[in-house]
Amino acid sequence: MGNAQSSWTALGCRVDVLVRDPARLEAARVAVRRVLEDVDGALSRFRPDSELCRLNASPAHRVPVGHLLGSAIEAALRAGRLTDGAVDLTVGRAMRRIGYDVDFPRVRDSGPLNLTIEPVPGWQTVRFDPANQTVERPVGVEIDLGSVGKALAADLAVVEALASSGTGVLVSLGGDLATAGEAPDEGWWIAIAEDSEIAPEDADEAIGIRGGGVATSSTTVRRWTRDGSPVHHLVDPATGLPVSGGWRTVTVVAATCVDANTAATAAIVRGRDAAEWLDTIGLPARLVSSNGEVRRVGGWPTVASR
Amino acid sequence: MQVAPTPSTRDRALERLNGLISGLTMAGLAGIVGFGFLAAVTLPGRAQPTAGSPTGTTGSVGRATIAGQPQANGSVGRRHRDDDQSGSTLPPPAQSTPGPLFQAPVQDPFSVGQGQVVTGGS
Repeated sequence: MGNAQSSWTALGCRVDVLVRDPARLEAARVAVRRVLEDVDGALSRFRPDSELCRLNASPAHRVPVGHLLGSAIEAALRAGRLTDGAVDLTVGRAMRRIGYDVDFPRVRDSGPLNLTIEPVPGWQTVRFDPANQTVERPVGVEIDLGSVGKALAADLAVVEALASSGTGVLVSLGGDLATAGEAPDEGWWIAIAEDSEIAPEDADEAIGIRGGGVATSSTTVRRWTRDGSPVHHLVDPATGLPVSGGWRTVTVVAATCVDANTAATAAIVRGRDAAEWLDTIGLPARLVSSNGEVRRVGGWPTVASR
Repeated sequence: MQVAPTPSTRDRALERLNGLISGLTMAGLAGIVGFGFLAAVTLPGRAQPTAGSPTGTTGSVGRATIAGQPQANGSVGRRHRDDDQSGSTLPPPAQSTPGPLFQAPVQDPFSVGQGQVVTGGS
């Protein structure tokens, strides 16, 4: 493949930018960096000066927000609606309760985890007014845009990179991929894995796409311990506790990275009926069960193992 | 306390993304009859046909497609069948956010030997 690629670390994950025309790589890279800086300043849950942290700390019921934070909240509310609440932006307090309240490399075992079931407030408690760019929510509800936020960042970055470079672009943020512009003749080739940190040649299988986005959610990464017991970062909004369903990793292809990420995360949370649900909504998906069995649905290529 | 908006390049990116998403929605419909996806995504931020616009050809044609009917590319129309049940032939209005349903890729993924970039949990 004749693509050019640039990689670095941002938002706590690996960033990959691939362009169809190697001469335009720098323009795309600069554009992606700019967007990610803006995203970090607006959506980070770990930066006290971010717009999101200021929103969560605000004593006001209705709070004006910038376009980026507003769009992310709007996307997260849509995710809640599309998934019947399996993806819920009000998991902020639950994330803190399980110990994920700092950048992941700094997460430490902070003693026994209180396994009391505590449903999150629910995405319906949050309202976004796009005309006035304001967010309303009960004071004290903590918004976490982690899942949708990163996917939206990929979607935004790839569009900006295309505008700056004028060539087909793929942007990956920790394995959440978005593409824009004309794909290479052979398509964009994506290695499918449970951990985005592995080398492409070590992946389980690979797919080609000619547009849209790809995202993977997995309970096998971002794990830590509480009093010796394993904990991971995917919270079930119904319980406020880490998900313990039947699928450990789900990869989805959709028109945008946000939709792929939303569906993948929802599938992990839904558990047992996730494969049927993904098939129903018509998104190509690959699911890995807790015992390692793989299931492909919705148009995912059937002959893909290497 | 007010959280002041911070105008910057991200707003421009949002505008472009909105254009892209609108383009994707239109492309999902247009792809049913073979209109190109690339035209939608290579011109981010371009104006989309609005309701009543004489340029709404793609939306009109896409909506006329029968749900579940086999399509030329085999993968587009069936996933957007629920976009509109009103029977209207008007194209959808330009959207500032993605539609009410999950948006499927214009083309299904296909198997290849080895990837260049990895998707995985992070």
